[in-house]
Amino acid sequence: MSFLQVKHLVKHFPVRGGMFNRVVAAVQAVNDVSFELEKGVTLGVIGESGCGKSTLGKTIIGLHPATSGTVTFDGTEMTGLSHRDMMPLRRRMQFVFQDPYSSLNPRMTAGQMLKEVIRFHDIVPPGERSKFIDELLETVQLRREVRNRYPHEFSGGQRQRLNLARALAVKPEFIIADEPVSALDVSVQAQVLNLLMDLREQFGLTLIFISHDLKVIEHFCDEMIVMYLGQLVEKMSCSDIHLNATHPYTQALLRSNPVNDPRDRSELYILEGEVPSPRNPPAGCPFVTRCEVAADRCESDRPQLVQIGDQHQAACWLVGEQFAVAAEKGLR
Amino acid sequence: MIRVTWGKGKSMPESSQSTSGQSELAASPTADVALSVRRLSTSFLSEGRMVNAVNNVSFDVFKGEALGIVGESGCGKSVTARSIMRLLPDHVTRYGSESRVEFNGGNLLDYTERQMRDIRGDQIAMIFQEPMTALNPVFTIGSQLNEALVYHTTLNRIQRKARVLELIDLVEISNPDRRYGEYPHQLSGGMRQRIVIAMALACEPDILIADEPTTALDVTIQSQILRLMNDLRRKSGTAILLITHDLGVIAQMCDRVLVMYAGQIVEISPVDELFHDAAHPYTKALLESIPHSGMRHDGQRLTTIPGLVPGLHDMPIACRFADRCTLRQSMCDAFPPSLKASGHRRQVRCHFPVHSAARPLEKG
Repeated sequence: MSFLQVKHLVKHFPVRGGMFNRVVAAVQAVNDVSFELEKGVTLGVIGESGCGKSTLGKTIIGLHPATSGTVTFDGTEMTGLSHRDMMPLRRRMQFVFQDPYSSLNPRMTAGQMLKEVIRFHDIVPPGERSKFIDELLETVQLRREVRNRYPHEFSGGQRQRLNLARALAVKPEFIIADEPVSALDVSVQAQVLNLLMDLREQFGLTLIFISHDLKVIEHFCDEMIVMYLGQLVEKMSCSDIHLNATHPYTQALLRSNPVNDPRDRSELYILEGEVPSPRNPPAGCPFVTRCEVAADRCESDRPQLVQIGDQHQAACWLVGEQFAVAAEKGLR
Repeated sequence: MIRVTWGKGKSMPESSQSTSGQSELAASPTADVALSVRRLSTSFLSEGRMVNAVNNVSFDVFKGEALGIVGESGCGKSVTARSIMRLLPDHVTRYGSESRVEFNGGNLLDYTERQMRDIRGDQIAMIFQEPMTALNPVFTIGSQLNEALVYHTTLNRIQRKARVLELIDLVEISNPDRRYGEYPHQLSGGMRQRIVIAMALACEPDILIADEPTTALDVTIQSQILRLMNDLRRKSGTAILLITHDLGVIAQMCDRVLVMYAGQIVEISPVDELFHDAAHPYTKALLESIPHSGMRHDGQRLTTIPGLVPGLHDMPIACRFADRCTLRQSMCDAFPPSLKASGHRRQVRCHFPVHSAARPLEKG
């Protein structure tokens, strides 16, 4: 059994309005997402703003209650667990937020913040706490003296290191990091990414890494899922994504990225149109309004995620059909 | 005195190229220079002290070119743009005594607020990172686009409306008639940025200053906006000064690039040479710290730049990058390097530049 199993996960946020503040609509932030994650694997989640990637992370870890569907962590189904039953599981998983500024308490020093976590979860005996804090700071490459400093005395990169130290304080096995390097300058981003790679190896972490930056995902992750309008449209290995990308949206996303090298400059690929509102997504394929190859069927029926190769799934009628034809002819 | 201004090449006589030694930047603009910034130093009065944010920055913007300014947060790229536009609060901002921003024969730094208002939006327009704050939420799209035309043109009401609808259409927004009466909150982020661009183009400016125009947008919307800016440059010959921290956007859009670090220009280079043969160690390190597609993670680490950007209050007296530089030598802590010509159409502020043109010199 996989380390993490997400099955038909749905998260809708009610929109209230009208008389008596009734629920008049729902923002369909995460719509029927299923995937599995093996232990020790880093999974990247990519998509544009509003595609539900952050909500997916928060729903998996239980910060939002799921509307329906299940999340199974190391054999235990987490959805529907009481607060008390969740406690032992919470220790094993952590969440790192995007904004290193607002996720730290401005009135607590670095040391106090770490101590709070260690005391609450009773990680080490009281006598060893101070030493453990020193070790934690060392792990994230911060100097020991910083334990007496307040968040405003840190730079952006240092704050994100402190956030990582806090997440690591409970010795977790599983971390969801929501855009952990997006707020940082590239040179600092490289420092934090290198640190994350070291920590991943040192502690054997399983990671879900949420980002809108394809270059970072490609560099850092083993597998990735592509989300569009609350739905998982493609799941694939991160090696050779440019060769393997199959879903029309994934391809568009790859081609919309600016070039790395001015010599590769060509006419910019343009994906026309904008993402529809998640309050009222298309009935069929979520991408149908912008897809260049959409057929009639795409407007009426929602494509399911189908296996199209080794570790490779896509939700697209055209891809599925091509694959079925190819499979019939014995090409795969 | 040798004049060194590196443009798009063809316009510049070969004889004016300096190949050695320190060069002085001449003060008179040539025919195809749209804007010249000379020795721009911008300081702010902060808690009784003067804090220098931009230090002795000189460059030219040529007609019709796309010039990129790249650098990390706090390097002074936005302050440079706002100094040109005179958008910094006068009571706390001081420009150096030799600072000049030459445009159409005048020095923008000497202009009164009233004179600047005639230039802003008419001859030099600016677009900002966050389109929502650049638009007034209580006026319709139509009336905000109309405003620049009222101020800068002699068109009558009917002509102005026609021009506004034309502008909305120009930035590829469907249904201009409907959008005319809508408010900013009714538009998506990408559409708002298009409206801001339409506003900037209302009077067909000579120069468009774009300060992180796509940073707040998704990649698919970013590519739409970048194409729009490219098309407009091609059609109307507007020079674009594009400020960004995203080297991908620079690679995609620009002809030449200024690299800024700690308030100074450290390198000026044509875009191709910059990406393939960076001259300044900072530029090189910056390029190497970006994950490249194709470079897989099999144990491969990113190159990092150790340390932090120096604070504005305690700038090193000599080279400002020395503390973080892997090639630092004793000279780097003793003398501040000046921005010198180095190779064809390039300038670099470093005692020991790393690009190929500099290599033979190192031995000698």
